[in-house]
Amino acid sequence: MKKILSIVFFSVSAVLTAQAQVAEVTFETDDYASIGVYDSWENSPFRKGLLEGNVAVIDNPHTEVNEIMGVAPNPTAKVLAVQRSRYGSNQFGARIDLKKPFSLKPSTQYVHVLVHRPVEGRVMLMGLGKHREKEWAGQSQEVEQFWSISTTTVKPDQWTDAVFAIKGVSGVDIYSLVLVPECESTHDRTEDFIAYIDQIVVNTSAAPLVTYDEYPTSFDKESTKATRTDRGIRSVGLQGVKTLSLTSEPSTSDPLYRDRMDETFAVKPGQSVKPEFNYKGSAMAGYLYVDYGQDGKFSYDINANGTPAAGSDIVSYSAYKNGDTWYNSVGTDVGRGGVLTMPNFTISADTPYGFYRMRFKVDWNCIDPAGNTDPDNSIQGNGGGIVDVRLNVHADEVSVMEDNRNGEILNSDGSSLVTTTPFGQAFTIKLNPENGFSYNGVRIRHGYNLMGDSLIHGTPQYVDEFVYRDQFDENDCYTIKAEWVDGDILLEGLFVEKGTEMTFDYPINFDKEKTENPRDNPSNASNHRRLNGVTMNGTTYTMPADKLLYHEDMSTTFFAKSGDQMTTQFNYSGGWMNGYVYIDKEQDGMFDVGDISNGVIGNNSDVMTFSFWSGDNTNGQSGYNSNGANLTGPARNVLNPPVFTMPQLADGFYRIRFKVDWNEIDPAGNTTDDNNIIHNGGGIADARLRIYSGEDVNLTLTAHPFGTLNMAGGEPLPESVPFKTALTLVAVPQEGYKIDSLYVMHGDFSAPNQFVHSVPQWLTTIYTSVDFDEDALTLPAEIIDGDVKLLATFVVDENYTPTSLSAVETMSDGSVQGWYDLQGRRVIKPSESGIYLRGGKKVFIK
Amino acid sequence: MKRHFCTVLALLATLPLSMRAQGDFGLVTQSLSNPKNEPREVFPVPSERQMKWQETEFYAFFHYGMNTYTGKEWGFGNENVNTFAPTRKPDPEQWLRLCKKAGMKGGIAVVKHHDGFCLWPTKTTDHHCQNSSNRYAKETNIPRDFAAAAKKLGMKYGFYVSPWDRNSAYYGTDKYVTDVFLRQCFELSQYGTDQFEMWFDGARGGDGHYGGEEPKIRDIDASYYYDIPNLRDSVHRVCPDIILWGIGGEARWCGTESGYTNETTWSMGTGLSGNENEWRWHPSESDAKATSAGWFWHDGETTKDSEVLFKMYLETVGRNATLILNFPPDKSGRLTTSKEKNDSTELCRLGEKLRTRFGTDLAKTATVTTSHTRSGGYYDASNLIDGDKNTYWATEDGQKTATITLTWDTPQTVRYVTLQEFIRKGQRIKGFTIETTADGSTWTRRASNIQTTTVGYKRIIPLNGNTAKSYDENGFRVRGIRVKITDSRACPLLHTLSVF
Repeated sequence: MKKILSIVFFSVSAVLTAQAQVAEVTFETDDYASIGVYDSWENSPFRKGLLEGNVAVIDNPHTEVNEIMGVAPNPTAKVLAVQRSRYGSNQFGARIDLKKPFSLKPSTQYVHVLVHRPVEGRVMLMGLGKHREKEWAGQSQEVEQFWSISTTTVKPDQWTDAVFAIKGVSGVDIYSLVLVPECESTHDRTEDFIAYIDQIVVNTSAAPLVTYDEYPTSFDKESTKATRTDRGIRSVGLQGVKTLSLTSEPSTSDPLYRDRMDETFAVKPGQSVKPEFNYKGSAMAGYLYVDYGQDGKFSYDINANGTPAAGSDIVSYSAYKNGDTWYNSVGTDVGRGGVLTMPNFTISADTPYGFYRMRFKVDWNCIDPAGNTDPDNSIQGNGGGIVDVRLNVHADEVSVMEDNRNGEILNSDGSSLVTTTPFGQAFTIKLNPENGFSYNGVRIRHGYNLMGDSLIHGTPQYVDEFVYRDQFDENDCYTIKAEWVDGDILLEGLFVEKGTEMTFDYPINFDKEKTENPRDNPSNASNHRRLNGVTMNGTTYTMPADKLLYHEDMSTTFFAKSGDQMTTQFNYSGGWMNGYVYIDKEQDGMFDVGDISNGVIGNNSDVMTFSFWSGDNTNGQSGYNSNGANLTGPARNVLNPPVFTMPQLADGFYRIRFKVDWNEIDPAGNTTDDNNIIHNGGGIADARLRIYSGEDVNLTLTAHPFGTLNMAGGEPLPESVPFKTALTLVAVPQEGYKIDSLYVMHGDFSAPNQFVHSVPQWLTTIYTSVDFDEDALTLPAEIIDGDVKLLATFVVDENYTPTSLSAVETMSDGSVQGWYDLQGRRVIKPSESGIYLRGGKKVFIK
Repeated sequence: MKRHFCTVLALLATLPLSMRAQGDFGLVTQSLSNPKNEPREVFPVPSERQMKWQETEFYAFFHYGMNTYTGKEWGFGNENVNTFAPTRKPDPEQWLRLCKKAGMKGGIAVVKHHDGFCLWPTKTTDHHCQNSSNRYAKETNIPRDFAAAAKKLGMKYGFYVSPWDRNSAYYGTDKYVTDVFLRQCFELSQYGTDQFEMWFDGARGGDGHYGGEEPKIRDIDASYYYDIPNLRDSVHRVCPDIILWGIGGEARWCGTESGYTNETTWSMGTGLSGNENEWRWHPSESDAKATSAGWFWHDGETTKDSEVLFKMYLETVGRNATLILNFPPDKSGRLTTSKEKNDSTELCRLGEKLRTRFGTDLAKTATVTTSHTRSGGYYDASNLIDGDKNTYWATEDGQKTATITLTWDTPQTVRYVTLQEFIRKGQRIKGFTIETTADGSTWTRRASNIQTTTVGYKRIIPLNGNTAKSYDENGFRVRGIRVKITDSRACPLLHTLSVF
């Protein structure tokens, strides 16, 4: 039975040169210090001197060429052989003392070891070593510094690169490695076996040097496309369970292999099911496999009468010629090969619950799950195909477990959490934090093997879903979706200290960070829809060209006073959309829609203006703008909303939201099927709104020992300056120094925190020396948006030529003769402020 | 221990550099003398120190420190040392004496929580109790007094020291580990070489004071940051019996703080059930609060009813875990004996329940027979009731099912059955049932609503299947009890079968 068809092989030597490596043992020469055996078990007979290990470097006994690869996976001359003793523990192995120790690092390193052994099981690597710092002097180098289980599966009787991820603190050196060839209990073992070890490399690459493809196909899975349009798989399914549609019309862009691990077919042990294909074309047969053994391959032995052999992974097929007879999987003579009607098969009653890889295949007369390779009848040439999905063998009731610190998870009524719940049915949980704690949400792990690997040979066993607090109701309850109850459930409450909860400010009905506007396509003018910008009372916010649907720029600030009339103009490509403006008046992290009736906005609403909304009239044929004007028909298609009056607001910085959407007052965006904001190419943009009632703002300067700042005319800085008015400053360094940077903190420093629900109440703008022109710098009006704090830093001027003069005389009158600059040049009359020489003294002209 | 380790190294001497041709290498016949026909170990198996720890079974947790005086559960690390102001000199002996009355065998004292405030005069930081202006704080040295009290009372003791330190400016750097955390652990190890557990909380960074320095949020990679391999090595050299809990890797958190673990609990793996197939012995400890509020003392909190605490005991110790039950000392440094929250009363009641309900082992007066017994003369059924944890009953290799029958001449009133595996040779049993007979011939399965799967170090089955009300007045009147072992990883080994 051929089970492995394709092998991916990378030259060991090539990898060695490609990756930065820190250690290598080949056994070809004396590139190791010594060898032996080691057992962590404190009562091991190998520790107590009752047994001796059997280990040696020998000629490589497995240099055979792999029939598929055409080369030998490990052709080297020498390898290490070790007798895996049944008297050793599950941490018994071959010890290799290194000639030169290597260091652990806080970043992950990978130890690659070629292993060849006759049995299944896990492989472990241990590292023995010690700290090298003087504080650890005297520490034994026998300390077990790491235990690592191989990240790769080591197959029996094949050279496999067992890859071990290791990390540790700086300062630890590894002197010896212990390769445990079988990290399993030995109590049932009646015989020992020999394991071979070779090519030990430590580097930073996780990629195995030799890999064997799992669930192989007879063609390249990634790149092979269909070649026919008259044939192809439209859908696969299990009758009465589920149908998975693949394509409505086969095309040559369809992949020949489809990995659909996102699709599951739920069945129960003992259930009889009927596979089915919707196939365009004829004269082909169907085959179905389930990897019950979860070993990374589909076995496919059949009996003489065509029925699957015991333990075979082929569970149903429609036609295969065994000898002279065209059988199907229940042993019926179907007479010909072009039959696609699949016999029923039964999920074995003793099948453990779990996710299993299931393969649908359409092919011609081929039970090999990899696909027909006959040049005259290849799976590709015949228009066949392969689809891998997951079979979910489940119970009626699934287990519910919890794993919590600083709180507990209860049923919605406050009772102790159920331990089981019906498969496929939603249920509600309640989070109950301990005293002093709150919660951010819950992690819901669902599936099987919840404490183990999430992937078994590439087949997902469980998924972690994170549900955050904003999705819980006011009673701290959340209803777990029915589709997540697809296996066992492990719940972990994300309990956190009170006051440190995540904030969920200003929600959006889509993923802010990732959602792109599908209509943002400038090359297609007739279908291009995009929010380009918005202007309000002379200030313009232009959206960056990133195609995202949501934009946020808290450095863009709109200014207003309470009572101002505000005019909003959207710059939008496309038509038939409406404009909306919101201000979070309460600064509570959300835009409250409040009461709106027939276009009249209540005082409790954060909605400022809108161009159209039909309210509860869901058909949207008739509605209002925020002036209360009834709009129907084409009149609804108005983008810019009416002028609004800025409400009475305390001085501060607020979040303002501009939204282009269709007939939707929800500030988070329209989510209806017909007018979803995403599909309509709408847009949402958040910025800051500054409300300030005063005329001036305070100005303070943090003194610096090597210079100061003056106003443009040379006068000292005043204590206050006009609000939202440009301000020109001049740097005045001391002799031998120059301006280096200027930090300008500006905003409302009376706010309780810099950020109020993610809206900054003050910002810092940083200028460097290159921003100064002849020591002068003009701060734009936009950053004089509140009190201003200046911090100027001066540094030594490397171009300064010192004089031998040390005294500096300050004079206010520069109109005297006999002046020199610091370079010794005669100055008729100092026209600029600075340091000059006169009469052998330094004189500072202001 | 150190001498022993050196001997081991000598025995594990590696071979000199050599090469052999392939033909020279073959399997060497290996055999070990086994005159007693001892069963082979099912790996993994516990270390000697893990055995000693497991036998402690039930012990106390004492959360006391800066939080006691701030009302917080997780201090930020910027608390003024003078805030730590005991109204009397803290009295660890009082803590332990009360807990001993409840049947506990030891205790763990929190001596540094996440706020970094140390309850001993450490040289690693000024943020410790004796720098407080309070007169009693200046006299406080919890590790010293706690260890002395434990020794006086014949109890085991250990300390909780938080790896996360929200006070230290060095947290997140290598310097914190080498100059603060490891040194603190080493200082604590000096307070007694016979400590049984050092407790490392799993919290691993976040925001904090950090000496008032940036950054204010510091996260670390706990998979290596605390240098656990070398901490374990250095602490074990001083305290050979210490179990490093949590990130120390020698015992695991059971997965909840609600005072239970799953009915199926393996001493391998992680979480509430563990994993039969994990490679490392990683036994379960359940940490739970005996009081109504937080881990630290809070005004107005109450002590849970002793019946609730007894249920916790059944669902932890009785399910192959240990139970570490928290009693927070108040601002006077004592367990509260006020009317509202009377630790003393409930502790005494709990102790009384444990003594009366598990006081008389009826199995010792029964006739015990087994369907299978291992040959060799050392594994008879009588070992099950001899009270000796070092003798055990076993079946032959490969015999994974068996029946143990206890019979009495006169009817007995029974409520609990306790099983204990000889886990020195690995945890084995995967399934069992318990039946009783009133007439000697008709057998009725008991506690069928309970998953009778794993046994491990100890499994207590309330025969009425109800851990909340396990002790009903009538009990079951029986003439016989039958334990059927229905599945096992290898031949089952039990050292004790008790009936109460």
